[in-house]
This record gives sequence, structure tokens and C-alpha cells, in this order.
Amino acid sequence: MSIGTERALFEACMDLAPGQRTAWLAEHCGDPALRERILRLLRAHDAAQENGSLEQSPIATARRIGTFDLLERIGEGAMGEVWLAEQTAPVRRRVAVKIVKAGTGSREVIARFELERQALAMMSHPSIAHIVEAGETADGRPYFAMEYVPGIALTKYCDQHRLGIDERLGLFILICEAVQHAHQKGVIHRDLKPGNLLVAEVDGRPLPKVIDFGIAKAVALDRQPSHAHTMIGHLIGTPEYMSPEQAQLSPLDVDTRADVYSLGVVLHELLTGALPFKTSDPNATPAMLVHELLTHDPAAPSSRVRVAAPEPQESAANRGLTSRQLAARLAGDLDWIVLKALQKDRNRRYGSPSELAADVRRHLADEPVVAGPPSTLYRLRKFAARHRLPLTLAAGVFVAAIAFGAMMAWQAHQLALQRDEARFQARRAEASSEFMSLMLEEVGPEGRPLSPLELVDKGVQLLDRRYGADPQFAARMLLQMSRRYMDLGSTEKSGQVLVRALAIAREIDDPDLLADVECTTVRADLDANRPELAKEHLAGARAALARLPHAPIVTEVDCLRAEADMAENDRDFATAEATLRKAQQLLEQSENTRGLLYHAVLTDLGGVLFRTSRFREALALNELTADALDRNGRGGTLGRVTVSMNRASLLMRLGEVRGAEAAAAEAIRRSQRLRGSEPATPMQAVGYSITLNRLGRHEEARKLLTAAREQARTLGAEFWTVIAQYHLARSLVLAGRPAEARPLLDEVRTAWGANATANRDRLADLYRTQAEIDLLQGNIAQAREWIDQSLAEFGYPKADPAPFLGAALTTAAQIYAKAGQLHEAESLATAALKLSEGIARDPRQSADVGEALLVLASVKRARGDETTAQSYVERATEALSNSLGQEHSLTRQANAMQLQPTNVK
Amino acid sequence: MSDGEVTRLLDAAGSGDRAALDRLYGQVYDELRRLAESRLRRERAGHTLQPTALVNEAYLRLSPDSSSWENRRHFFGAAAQAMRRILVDHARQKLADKRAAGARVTLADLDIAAPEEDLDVLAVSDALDVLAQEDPRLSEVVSLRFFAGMSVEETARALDVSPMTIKRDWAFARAWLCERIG
Repeated sequence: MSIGTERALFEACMDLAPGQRTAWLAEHCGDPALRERILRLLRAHDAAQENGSLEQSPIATARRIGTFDLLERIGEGAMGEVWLAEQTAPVRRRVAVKIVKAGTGSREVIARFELERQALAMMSHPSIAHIVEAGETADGRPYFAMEYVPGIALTKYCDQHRLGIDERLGLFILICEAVQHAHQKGVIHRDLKPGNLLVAEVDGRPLPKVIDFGIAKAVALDRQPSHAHTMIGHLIGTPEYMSPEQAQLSPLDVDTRADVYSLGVVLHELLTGALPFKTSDPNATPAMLVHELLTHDPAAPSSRVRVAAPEPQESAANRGLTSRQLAARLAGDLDWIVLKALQKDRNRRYGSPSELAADVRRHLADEPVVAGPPSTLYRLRKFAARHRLPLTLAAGVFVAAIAFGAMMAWQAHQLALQRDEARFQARRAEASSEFMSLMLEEVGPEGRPLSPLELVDKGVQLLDRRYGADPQFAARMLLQMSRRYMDLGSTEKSGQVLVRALAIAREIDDPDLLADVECTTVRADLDANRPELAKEHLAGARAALARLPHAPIVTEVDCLRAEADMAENDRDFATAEATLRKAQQLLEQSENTRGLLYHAVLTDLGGVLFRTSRFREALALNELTADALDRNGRGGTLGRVTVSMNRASLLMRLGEVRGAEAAAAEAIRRSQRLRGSEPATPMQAVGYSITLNRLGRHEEARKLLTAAREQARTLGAEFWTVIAQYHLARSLVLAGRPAEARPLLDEVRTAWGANATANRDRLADLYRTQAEIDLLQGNIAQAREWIDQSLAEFGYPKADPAPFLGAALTTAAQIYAKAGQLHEAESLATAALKLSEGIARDPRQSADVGEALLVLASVKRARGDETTAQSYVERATEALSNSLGQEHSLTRQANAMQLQPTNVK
Repeated sequence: MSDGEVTRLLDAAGSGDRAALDRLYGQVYDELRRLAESRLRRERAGHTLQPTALVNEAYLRLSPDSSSWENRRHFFGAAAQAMRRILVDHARQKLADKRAAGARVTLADLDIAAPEEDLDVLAVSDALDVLAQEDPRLSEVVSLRFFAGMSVEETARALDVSPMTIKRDWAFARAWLCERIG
């Protein structure tokens, strides 16, 4: 029998129902062996169809993601999975990698996942596992890697170590604070339980870690209620820690207080060893548990341990107590705290985890707790416990009563404040989470994704539409928007938004908000070249800060940055550096080193190092910042683009022009990935074109600069408009078209002249450009005047080295040589050489060194010192061809000088 | 290798030059192997070894400038054979490593496939040899689909037949192989 016959019979039967196949074969095929064979093939076909056999090519499944080797799968949700993974470079460490499952990557799921990753990246708390890296697999599935916590579940840890009640409460407070931090960042956990609260030992001390933040939110529920939460019989895991509103299957309506409820269950278990709602029936279905949860009120924890059963005795022993002692310890405060957290009506629960933690703290400090029956006797007892000594000493009841009355009034006021604050925090968490989702859902015209600028515009509109009634929240968000505008180079819009935020902050008179807005405004003013206004705002910020006994670190750091900006504007670089170092230290001490703020401070610091010509130091800092951003999942941010562009500027200053061009091109590529079809920001375009100019690619540079100037004008970014125009003028000079450059340069001089202190280095460089124009046009005397003015502006010869001083010295040497003042020319060129050699990482790679050598060589030759001239020319050729390339006109000029040594004599 | 060389080999193979076909296979094999190794060694975000991507990349890199159907068919045929050899060698190597180590497979440079998948690769490859003697065309379809990871449409394009034909070929060939492997 041939394979052709087999195939014909196989295909004839393939689409028949299995029952009909035998009959059909019996009718059409007389050979029983062949019939049997065909049936076997058909069975193999059905099975293959079912399993998708051989469809997957053999090694399409990655066991490696990003820089991580996946070791084993440690968790799985409806749409995502979690792997234990190992990274070998840059350091060997273990991480947990979360990844969207293949085949579930709908736009919706990926958007949620991304939202989740961003939320996680925003959180920076020692008790929250942080993001290590984020990215996308080759087949387009997003993933992120988080710190892997090798801890054990909270309750297990406490029992194993037989922790007493106070120690347990201490750990619980830390957990509440971590959850509070998340809420402030707009993340609701929704799945708090001991399995997600791990305790790791750090330096011999227990440190709780909240894990699985919102994995449920990211990959299972959220806007679309998933099956896991809509079908009781299919509830994943145990519903024991779930709030009634979650169990009622309305995931849409779950807010931060659901986490408060879950924390209440965890506290109950920590204290008693039992769950508030565990039925004794081991066969209870989830549905039965949910029913009990919804219909019964939990008993007081103390009553749970009082019953004479073996479990409570064991629980008590785990806490170093007898069951009677444990019951006594729990009765009162702790009973009330737990029951308040477990209220079915969330309006009667604590408003936030921090409110819950505050009450636990009050209990530990023997102060009256908010929860519980507010009987006079109870309060008096608490008051007495705290003021045991003064009360016994007090002579009469009357004195005590007055003191008591005053105390109570004060406390009531404090508590009301705290409650308001907690409510505000909770509302803010929800609002910002909702706000982010709404913003991400906006799409641009024709359904294309929004550009970053449009996104921020939409955000501002959305704020007006939906959050006008909540000025505090609106002001905070406006502040965020203004910073995003600044990142995007839109000084004007940033200013407009800040004016609105400032008005709100003044009206509601919130010193924290006011300080933050004023400080942000300082930077905007300086960007807009208005130092006087900036000074006023800085004074306002200082006044607001003085009213705050403990300013939040973020506010304090923002204001230190503003102080440093101001000092930098006044050319007081020592103060600027010291101020930024202080900000850096503050963030490091409070372990706030993962957020964008820390990176911003490092970048500012790099700017100061740059302006004081400490380029090598600045480069090291720049590399550190880039690395930290990549590691913290911020490789795809505008901030990261800026860091790359700064690297280009630094390499440029070090004379490594080709390296600078590569770095700038990389920055542009990163930016394009981020901004899609949007043109590069003015900052990026200018940075890139400066390198192009130096490489002799003037045409390209001018095209970019013209577009950058237009864009900066549209964005209202005066600072960048002027800088773009300046480099446009320089490009024309370098291309040998001085006449066209002149009018452009005059306009720039007027603009920078308005703030001559801050722009001193820029003006000095501008005078050099003027000198070059005159040199090109043959006005040697005029050129010498300009270059003298340039050097004077730099403060030469006493000057601290400024970024463009070396270039000015080289130009000066050329002009003096042309004027026949060879002695001066030689000393200027020697100074230029010394300066650039001191700056360069490797003098043989520096264009600045090369150019200085080239001028020096021609001066030496003119003075008749041919031997020295030759050796300078050789060194110049090497440096120039390394840094600018073989084809560059300066390199060719150097080569020509090498070939024709006797032409000049 | 110069740009024109592959085109020249493809043209020669098209006119029945057996040696040219062998040389072509050698070139494609070297290129694929180099690509696979560099892909796996590069420590970059999100790379997986996707045979389809590799084969396509090899095609682009070797850039035969004649795009005749005949040439495409020869090229992808050679690529699928080369990919098959890479995968089979790799699977054999890993099984040998595993036997030698007596424990878990170590992460050798090409190690990303799970052990069961290695067995699949070897079993399919052996069964495919038998099928090739019965019906060379079917074996070619399997080779492109399974070893080069091509979709039905891509396979159809490579062999210049309709996707419907490939679907039917694939259904039978797969049943045949699965029945044999058991």
C-alpha cells in the first residue's frame, strides 16, 4: 500500500464524525490492516489537533527574559505568571519576574500591566519589594522584575520566633505604613494576607515586606471584573481576608478601605492565631465563608482565646503568655481596634492604614485609642496611666479636672485633624489612580496614541473637568503637570499651570503645598530668564517652609534644588554643590533613592560639576545615574533621555567629539522610541547639532537647529529658542558664512544680556564667535577686541576654568598670530593646550587638545622653530583624527602641514 | 561572503547543480548558527530564539537579490534543513550533557529548550527521515513548519503553492509523524 492511498482514505474520513468513520471505511476499503492503520492515523490527527502538537516550533519558548534566567515558576494568575529568576550581570542576584502570559496580551491587559509597573516604580518604601527592571520580551509581552524576598509569611514568622504582642504590633505598624505609602501613590493592594506579607531578616532584625502589589489588579481584575471574582465557585485562594465589598463581587467599587479591612483580619490572626471568620467545618465552601462574612459580626478577639480549647492555649504560648493572660491583654483597646478595622460598613472603618497604625501606636503608648466605647471612665483611666506621677501629686480633684478638660479638648482637635488628613490621603490615592487610568485611556485624533505633550494637555483639561471641587488634589496634580511640561521644554505652559497651582495653594493656605509650588516656580522662572521673579518665589518658599515643623522630605528636597538653582544662577557654585549634596544625603538617609527625584538631584549635581569644568567627575556621576535609572525600570523615561544627552555634552567638553555624537544620537533614538513621530525636543536637537557642527556636518546641524528654534518658539521656551539661534549662528560661521551669522548673533546678545550674571559663560563664548566672524572677514583689529572681551568675561587669566575657555584661548592665539603678535599667540596657545590636556581623559583623543596643538605648531613654524612645530603637528594629527575623524577639515589641515614643512619660513 | 554569491549559488541550484546546493546549504548553516549563537549570548532585553526570525534574518543578511520563486524555495529549503541540524545537534548535545552530569541540564550556550522538547526534536527528526523516503514533499513541509517555525501561509509562499494545499499536507504529515512517534 502506498502512502498516496493512505492519504486519500485519511482525507476522505478526516472531516467525518468519529462514529461515521468506521462505517465509511468498511464500505470503501477492503483491507482490514489498512482500515486499522487509517483509524490510527485519524486518532493521531484528532489528538494532534487537540494538543496543537508540533505547532509550536521546538524552541520558541524562552527560558530567559531580559538579563534574567528563569529558574522556576512560583506563581500564576489568570493572565500573568511569576518566575523566580536569576540575574548574572551586572550583579548576581535573584529576582521575581512577572510576565503577561502568552496569548493574553490584549491592549487592555498590556495597558493595565504597564499602569501597574508605573505604579510600582513610583513606590519607594523599604517594606515594599521594588522594581529592578522592566521591559518587553521579543514577542512583545511586557514584564517586570522585582526584588525577590526570601522571607516567610508574617504569621508563621511570629509564631516561629514566639514574638510577644508588642513585637507583633510593631511589625504590624510597619506593614500599615507600607500599605499607606502605596495608597498615597495610587495603588490599592486588594489581596493583603500573611502569604503576601513576608518577613525577612535584615541585619538580624525582622523587616516585613509587602509583595504581590496589585498583581491581582494588574493581571486579573480592575475595570473588567474577571471570572475569578464573578463566579463564587471559582474564587481563587481563600476569601478569608477579603472585605465584604470585595466578596460581594463589585470590584469596581473597591477602595483603599478594603485594604484596611484585610489588615484588620491580619491583625486578628496575629493576635489570636485564628481568623475572625473561619468556620469549624473543614468542608466549608468559599460560598459558605462569604455567606458568613456577610451575615455575621466577628466576635471580639479576646473572647476567641478565652474558650478552653487546645488551640487558644497553643496560640497564647506562641506569644509567651497563658490563654488567660492573652485574653486580658487583648480585652479593651486591641478588641476595639480589630473590630473597628473589620466593620462591614467601610464608612465605619479606619479611613486609612495610617489611621489604623496610629491607633495601634496609641495603644502601645497607653494613650486613648480612637476605636472603642468612648466612656469617660476609659479615658480617665488612660489619662491616669500616662500621668501617673503628676496625678498622685495633684492636691485636689478640681485641679485634675481642669487639666483633664483641657487635655480632652486638645486631643479631640488633634484627632479630628488626623481623621481629615487620613480621609484626604485615601481620597487622593483613589483619585490619582483613577486620574492615571483616565489619562491613559485618552487617545489622539484618528485613534493614534497621544504624544506626551498632548497627554499632559489632556491631563490638565481632565483636572478642570473632574476634580475642580477638590482644590488640594487639583493643585498637587497641576504641580505634576507643570513638571512634565518642563521636561518637555514647554516653559510657557509650565508657567501657566504653576500660576494656577500657586493661586490655589495661597487660597487654601497649605504651607507644604505652597512651599512645593513656590520652589517649582523658582526653576520655571529661571528657565524663563526671570531671576528677579525667581528670587521672590524663593523667599515665599522659605517663608512657607518656616511654618512647617517637619516638612516632607520631597518638599524639602525640591526646595533645596530651587536654592541650588538660584545659587547656580548667581554663579555661587560652591553653595549650589553643597546644597545639592545635602539634598542627596537627605534622600539617601531616608532610602528615597529609587524615585525620579533622586536622579534629578544627581543630574543637577552633574550640572554644577559641568559648569565648574569637573567633566570627568561629572561623567562618572552621569554613568551612575544612567545605570540607576535603567535598573529601576526608568530606562524609558524622558529623564533617561536627558541623562544620555548630558553624557554627550560631557564627552564634547572632554574633546571626544565622535563619542559625543554617538551619545547624542543614542539619546535621540531613545527619545524617538518614547515620542514616536514627534520631533526631538529643542534640548535634544540642540545637543545633537552641536556635535554635528563640530564634526563639520553643518548642513544637518542647521536643519535640526532651525526646526528646534521653531519648536521652542511654539512651546514658549525662550531659553531654548535663544540657544538654538546661537548655535545656528555658530554653524554659519563654521561653514564660512559670517555675514549671515551676524544679525542672528546680535539678537542672541540682547537676550542673554538681560541676565548677564547667569549667562556670563554663554556671553563670553558669544564674543568669541563675534571674533571669529571678524577674523573671517579680515577685520583683525576688531577680532582682537572681541576676543579680549571674551577672555575678560571669562576672567582670564585668573579665571576658574569654564567650559568654553579653552576654545576661546585657541581662537585668541589664532587672532594674535594673524596680527603678527607671535609671542602672545604662543603663550595663549600654550595656555589653551595646558587647559585642554588637564580636562581630557586622554589627550590623544581630544579635539580641543588637537586644535590647540595645531595653532601652536603654526606659531612655532612662523617663529622658525621647525623641529618643535613638526612634533606638535604629529601630535595634533593623532588627536584630531581620533576625535574628529580622518576626513575632517582640521585633520586634513594637520596632514597638509606635516607634508609641507618648508613652505612657511 | 560577497553579496552576489548566494544569488549565484541559488541560480546554479535552480539549474540542478547539486554541488551549488550543498555549498548554499553550508553558507546558510554557518550564517544561521552564527546568528543563533550571537542572539543567545547577547545580554539584551527580551530576546528569544525564534527560528522564524532567525531564518528571515539570515535571508535578509545573505540578501539574494533575485527574488524568483524558485530561488526562494531553494533558500528556505536550505534554511529549514540548516535549522533542523542546529536544533538536532543542540538537543543531542544537551542530552549528552545531561547524561554526563546525571542531573539537571546546565545552561549551556544554546540552552533554552526544556528537556522534553529535546526528545521531540530528535524523534521528529528521525521520523522525518523515514517520511522523506515515502514522500519528499511532505517532509519538506514539515521541515519548514516545525524546524523553521513557519506558518502555513509562509510555508505556502516558500513552496509557491496555495495555503490550502499546505494545510492538507500538514494535517496528513502530522498525523503520520505523531502516529509513528506514538
